[in-house]
Amino acid sequence: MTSSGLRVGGRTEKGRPPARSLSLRRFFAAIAFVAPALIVYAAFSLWPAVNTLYYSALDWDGLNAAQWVGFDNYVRVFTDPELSNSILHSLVLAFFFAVVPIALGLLLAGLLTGSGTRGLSVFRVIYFLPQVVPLVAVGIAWRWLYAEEGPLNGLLNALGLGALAAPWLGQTQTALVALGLVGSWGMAGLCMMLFISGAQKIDSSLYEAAAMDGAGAFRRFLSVTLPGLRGEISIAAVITTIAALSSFDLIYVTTSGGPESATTVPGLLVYRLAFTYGRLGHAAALAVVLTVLILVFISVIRRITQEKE
Amino acid sequence: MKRYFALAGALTMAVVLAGCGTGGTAPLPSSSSGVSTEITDEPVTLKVAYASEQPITPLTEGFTKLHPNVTFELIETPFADYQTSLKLAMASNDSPDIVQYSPAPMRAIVPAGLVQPLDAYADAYGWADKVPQSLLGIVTSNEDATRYGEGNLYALPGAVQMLGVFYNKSVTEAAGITDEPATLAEFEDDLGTLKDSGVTPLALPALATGGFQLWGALSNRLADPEVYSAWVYGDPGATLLDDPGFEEAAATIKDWADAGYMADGVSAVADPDAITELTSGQRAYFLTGNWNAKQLSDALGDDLGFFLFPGTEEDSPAVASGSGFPYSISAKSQNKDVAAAFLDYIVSEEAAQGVYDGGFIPIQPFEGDSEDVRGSIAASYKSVVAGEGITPFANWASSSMIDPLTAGIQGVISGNVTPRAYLESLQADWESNR
Repeated sequence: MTSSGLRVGGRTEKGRPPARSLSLRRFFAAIAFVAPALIVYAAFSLWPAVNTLYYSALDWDGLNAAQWVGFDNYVRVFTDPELSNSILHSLVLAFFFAVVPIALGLLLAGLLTGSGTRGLSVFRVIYFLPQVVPLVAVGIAWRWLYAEEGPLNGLLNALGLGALAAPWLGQTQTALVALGLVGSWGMAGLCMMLFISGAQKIDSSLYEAAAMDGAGAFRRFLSVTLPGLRGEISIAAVITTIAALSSFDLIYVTTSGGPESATTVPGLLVYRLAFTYGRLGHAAALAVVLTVLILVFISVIRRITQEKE
Repeated sequence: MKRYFALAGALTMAVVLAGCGTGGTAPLPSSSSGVSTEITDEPVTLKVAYASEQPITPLTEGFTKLHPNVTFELIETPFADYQTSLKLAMASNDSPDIVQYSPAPMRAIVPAGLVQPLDAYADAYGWADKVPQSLLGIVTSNEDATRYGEGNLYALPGAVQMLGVFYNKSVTEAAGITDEPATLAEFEDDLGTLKDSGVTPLALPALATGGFQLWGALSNRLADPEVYSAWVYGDPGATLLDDPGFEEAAATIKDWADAGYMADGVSAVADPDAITELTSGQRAYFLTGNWNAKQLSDALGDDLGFFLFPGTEEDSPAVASGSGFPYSISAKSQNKDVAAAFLDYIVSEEAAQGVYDGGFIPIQPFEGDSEDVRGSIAASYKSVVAGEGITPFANWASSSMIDPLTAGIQGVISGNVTPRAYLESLQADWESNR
């Protein structure tokens, strides 16, 4: 934190009398400008969030009179073995949604920022495309690709690797990893885009200086590009980790948490509790826990990637 | 530091304020005195909310033909959204007059007193004689909606949906199978014959409801259907653990999986995939409901056949899981007599042709074209009504039952869950919801 806050009123030092009315007027003017966005944000984001907190202390089916149960719902959330499994699953997903795409994104950015490659923008579009298609459509397409008699197994058979062919989403051992790879495929393009734009603002004289010191391409990437992208990597890690921990749509349309609960994630359990079982309080408690979990992860990521001053 | 206290204070305030708007009070159901089977000549518009276009459209058109002063405002919502929006629709001041009854949300809506009990109308119109008792079980419940099969009548069915085995005649004939199986043993022989000829015989969408519907069909044949129905209806003390037939049914599925009668990856096969597998000739049999009949017959034409899941003996009385497409009247409706007259119409013989043409089974036994698959479904329904009757779907036993059912059968197929453990998980869910 700097002392910039103290200097805001600097202009008012001259005349005392108008100070208050002017700053008051400015205050209301500022509020007026912020109001449209603030009202929408408060009504559709803050208010539901606060309501969720309140619901989490109720036993409520969404229609009949609710009963105040305090922390009972939280006790149920933490004693339910299915929850710890689902959190474990989403951590596995976080590896495939965050770690793999960031590594891939760095590689792609490294390949696509150098000059001399023809049709750079074509490649960028191709790698970014998965990010544009809705995950629901992506999920259904991948379900077909992974099917027992689907294209992926067809390819393996054609290559003489028929022994490796498997019903990827239909068995507990492979389903979660198969879904994770869909996430890697989808998120890598986003990371690449972030890194390319970040790399463009790195001063080219740094590369020249490094080259003059005898650094090769790999060394330049390690010592110049990577530190220069610290901020972008942090953003990418936050976005992809949130996507992994709060994932719902991909799982919902591909495996519905199956086979045998091998791919359940907290988001799916929240949906089931609220809309299938009609236990809104229990669902709200789980949603609150999930939110806290995500906040913890983001804080850790921000701390790790923070630049030391 | 101060800022955090202020923030905490604001949050507390907001939570307290939020409390002011929720936890609705339940309105009392309006008394059903003054029931009349005569309806007004004044123009009336009934609002109808539903998830499935058939059979409601031909039914409303037919009724308007008989009573030109009654028109309908039709509100269709896709099934998944219908389930979640029905509570709000029924609670609103502008609620529809007639809604399609869906068991899961009705567990909250019935106790809230928002559904009109129909018993007075049932007496006045004599519905008990017109509609098979086995179709009314799931729409009859106590006021808490915890126990079904007895209590108040909350809906009346307009058509029948029922499970049976659809098959691709060109595939079975190519393997040398000429007859429909009359017993379960014959069916297993046919499965073996097909497997030997290089065809995986069963299309089984175990990703969704297909897996446990096969278990339900086997259970109806290997265990006592009355024990099964009592369990779904929530009779106190009901259990699946005492009748060995339920375990045998799950074990049979495991045997079929091991014999290769179904593909390894059935736990990732969805309903649309299974339809494609049958119509493309990759599979021979698909146990499903007649809601898929139209799509299957559009693709296969005369090659599509249908038979009820066979029993252990040739003369075992016919039985199948299924339900009506039930419709309820809102307790807030201003036109209950007209709505009740419509319900009386949908179970009548006049309504049957329109329902049949839409691909569904009419409530009144109906002579269809025996060459057509719709005709053989209608004939099968007749034999079920004459036999053990319609049994309810297993997932109606509780609002959360669908998940242990789906995941459990996936586990039985893979071998990770024993048939006994599967039944115990179902019973545990059943007991946690009572």
